[in-house]
Amino acid sequence: MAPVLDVRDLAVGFPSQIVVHGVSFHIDPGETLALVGESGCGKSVTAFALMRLLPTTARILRGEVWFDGTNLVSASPPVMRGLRGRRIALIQQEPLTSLNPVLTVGAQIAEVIRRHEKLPHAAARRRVGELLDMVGIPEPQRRAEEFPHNFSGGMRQRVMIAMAVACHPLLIIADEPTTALDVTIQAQVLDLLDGLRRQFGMAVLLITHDLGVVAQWADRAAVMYAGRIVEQAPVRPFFRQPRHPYARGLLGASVNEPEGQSGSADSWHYTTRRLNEISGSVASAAGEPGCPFAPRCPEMIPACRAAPPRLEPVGDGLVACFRAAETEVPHVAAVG
Amino acid sequence: MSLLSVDGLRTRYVTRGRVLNAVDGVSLDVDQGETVGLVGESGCGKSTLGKTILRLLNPVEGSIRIRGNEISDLGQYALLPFRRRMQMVFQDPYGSLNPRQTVETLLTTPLKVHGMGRRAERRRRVRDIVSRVGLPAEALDRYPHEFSGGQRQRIGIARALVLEPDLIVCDEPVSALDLSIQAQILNLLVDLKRDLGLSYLFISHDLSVVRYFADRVLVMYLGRIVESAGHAALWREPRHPYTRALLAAVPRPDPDRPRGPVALRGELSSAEAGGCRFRARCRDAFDRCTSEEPALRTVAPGHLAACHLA
Amino acid sequence: MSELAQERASSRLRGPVARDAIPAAPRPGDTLSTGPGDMLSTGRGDMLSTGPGDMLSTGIVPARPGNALTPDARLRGGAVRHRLLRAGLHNASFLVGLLILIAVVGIALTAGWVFPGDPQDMVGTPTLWPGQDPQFLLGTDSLGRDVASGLAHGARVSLLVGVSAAAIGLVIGTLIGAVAGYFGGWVDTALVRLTELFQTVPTFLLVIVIVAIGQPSAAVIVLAIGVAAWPTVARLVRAQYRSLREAEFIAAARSLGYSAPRIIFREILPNAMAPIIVTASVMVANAILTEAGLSFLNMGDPNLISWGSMIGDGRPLLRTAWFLCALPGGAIALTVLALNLVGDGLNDVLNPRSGLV
Repeated sequence: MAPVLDVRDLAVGFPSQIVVHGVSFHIDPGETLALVGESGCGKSVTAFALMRLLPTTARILRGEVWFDGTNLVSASPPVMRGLRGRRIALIQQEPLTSLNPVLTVGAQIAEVIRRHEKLPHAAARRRVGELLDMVGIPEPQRRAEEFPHNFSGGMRQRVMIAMAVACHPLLIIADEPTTALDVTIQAQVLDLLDGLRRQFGMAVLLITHDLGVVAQWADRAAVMYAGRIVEQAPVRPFFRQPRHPYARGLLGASVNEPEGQSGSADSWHYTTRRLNEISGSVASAAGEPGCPFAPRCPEMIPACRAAPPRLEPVGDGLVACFRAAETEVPHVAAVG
Repeated sequence: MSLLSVDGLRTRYVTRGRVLNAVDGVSLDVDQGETVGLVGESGCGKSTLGKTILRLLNPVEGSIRIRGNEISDLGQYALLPFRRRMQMVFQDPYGSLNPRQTVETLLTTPLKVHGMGRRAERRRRVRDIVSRVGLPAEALDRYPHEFSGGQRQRIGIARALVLEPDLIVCDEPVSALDLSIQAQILNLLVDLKRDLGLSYLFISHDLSVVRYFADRVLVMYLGRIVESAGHAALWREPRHPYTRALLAAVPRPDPDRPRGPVALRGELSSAEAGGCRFRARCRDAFDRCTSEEPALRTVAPGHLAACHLA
Repeated sequence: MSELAQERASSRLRGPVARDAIPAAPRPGDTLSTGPGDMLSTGRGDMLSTGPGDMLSTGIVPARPGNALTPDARLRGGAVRHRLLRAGLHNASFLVGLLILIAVVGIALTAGWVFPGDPQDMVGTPTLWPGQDPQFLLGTDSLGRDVASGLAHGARVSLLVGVSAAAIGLVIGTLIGAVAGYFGGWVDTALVRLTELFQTVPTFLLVIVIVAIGQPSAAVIVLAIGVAAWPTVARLVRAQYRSLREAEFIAAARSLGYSAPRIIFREILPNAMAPIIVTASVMVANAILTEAGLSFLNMGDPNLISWGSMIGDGRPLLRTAWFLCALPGGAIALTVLALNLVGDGLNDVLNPRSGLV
């Protein structure tokens, strides 16, 4: 089965620096790929580059993005406009700024529908009501007449999801969709998105920094660091045995126990365990050749500083690390 | 005697004719050397509680005692000596430092205001603090915008420490930071507690972080404490349905432990008069929940919950 | 071709490895910020990414895990002011305005040497045109006074009055605005009413009334203009203080026990300066215009020659010796233009939205 999205060697730069250094990944129909990383890693830039929504100062330097038979990098603006909202949809983090505050929610959803499908007003309004109902907003017809500020954060995000799925897109890009929401609402919203994905057979590119979200809602994970994908694997093998030192560091730094150790809440407490730090910051390797993680890497060897490692298959996935073949390091000792 | 003792605290917001008790009758204690975690979602009043304890907001009712001294009704001038005893670490590393002051100014001014030491002594103290939080001495001449978020948070922690307080109220100190930086800051806070004998009131919406960091945990909902327990007991045996829902909602970084069904209905709404304020979202609510507000009572040794069914 | 092999093929970099450009200090602060205490601020650096334009954190670059500073980080402190200056100099209109202003100030400063003696002295044949007599390059007026000397000394008067009046207005306005904005409540309400009271009276009329009550001396004029001009500043400053007082660093200052005066003047004021500075240039321009208007109406200081008084004196001869009005009029226009350009330039440079600060 051909992938819905096939990104090949995509590079994006701003005038002062290159932010995405040739990333490649693909998403199969109906699957959720999580793009994981911390701030500054380039995951959001990648997402916006896919939809050709970069700020004017940014440029796609090279690469191809194959979507549904079209190369999005070279597609003309009219073609892109036809795709956005209809075949590819975007859900962003802060629905307060994604929704137009002076238009009713129903009007905004209807706008998306009528832009891509020539439906008369009445039919569009009906569709809007169905969509709002589908995303779990009670009294959909009445609430369609309300403005974004009448909705809570979780409700607004549901409205965004309704807008996104209105035309049954092939791919949804969700950029940190629940970061600004409470954890109980987060679970509801992500479950909703997941359910709709299954129902309509859509693929999802889920951008997040939260490893728990990745574990629970993604099929595959791609970890980004300093503009490069450093590890890519199906979710189960990834969490069972992350191969890249950065990915291992992230999991070690998490306050949640990754392994299925039941009971003993004491084992994950500051009195018995010290969090695995990754010292330094992302800027450590700016301007230097070699692996961008090298200055912070506990397993660095001289070869790491010479040239950046390429993504190579290791186990079930791909890893960009010269030392990836070796098994994982022992845990850091508990604090005294 | 507890280091901090809060009793029946109430803080009110008045907006456009509507009165909202953001903190609605909260009592808690923090002992010397203890870390108390305060967890809850947005709108529960935890930040308001933290600010009220520090008298950045004024309570309408209730008492706040620092080592037995009542401070809830003191004027700003009388409050000054007590401000040395308790300090706050703020959430936003980008907004919590004055952009026009160097780190040195930022850290020496509190010492000047409180008349602590002469110039040379102040400089020495500030240098010491800066290295304690893991920053180089050159940082003193820099401005906040030259630092990353994690480093700024270290500066914020240094500022909180410079007056040698006993209690530090941390208001979501790591919520805005990346995971790897979170780990750095949490480890730093743990080390400082051990080295300086600090006590913390750690406020966060992130259950996982509170679980790791606190000795005792208080769960807050709509202005009230609904559960209070030691960290282990809270995780082993949560008694309040809200706590259980919170715990269930946290996604674990383990694909083999799938999430349970979503345990809450609907969303946060303002407290309805009479009865348990959680009943609108609770799956187990029954008639007593509508008529009678459950009191926070002991359900096990050292474990309190405000639920008729606990 | 298997999927995995396909992936391998596509992940191979084509061409030489692109060498990273050395980040040229895009700040960890972000371009969406509209100032401290802004609720929509989305930070960069190692904070959660919240939007497009993920930039690499460019905080202090540690050379080792010990977090030591690298040599180029050391430069970064001075680099900010340096960058601002360069940005200012690149703005063409700002440069032009600045140059004109420097020229006018130069003329005002050197008037005593280049044109010694009192400009009110009648030194030549009346109503000489510019160029008629090499001794009086810009001609003479109806009383035989040297126009060039009048312009030079007039520059002094105009600038002095303009700057002093603006300074008075700024000080009063900043004080009132700061107190109103910071304290809120009844203090704010009372001061806002006061501001509105002064604002409802037309500025120029107010100045005339004040000057009429006192004597028309330079000091009274300066005071009058300052008193009439402060409301604009006060409103601006009040808005700044209202937003800044909600900033977390102010909450931190209060939690540290800082007194209200300290917070108002040492904590908030440095952060509120940008719009004040920009307004200052416009206020000087307005003050110069007001002074010129007063002098034109013969309500200015009779002992001083100013551009306005020159225009007033030249009015009867407008048909025949129009240069007597045109020259000082042009001087006023040029100076006001220069001040506006400088103000605009400062606004571009100091405005946080421009992404430079």
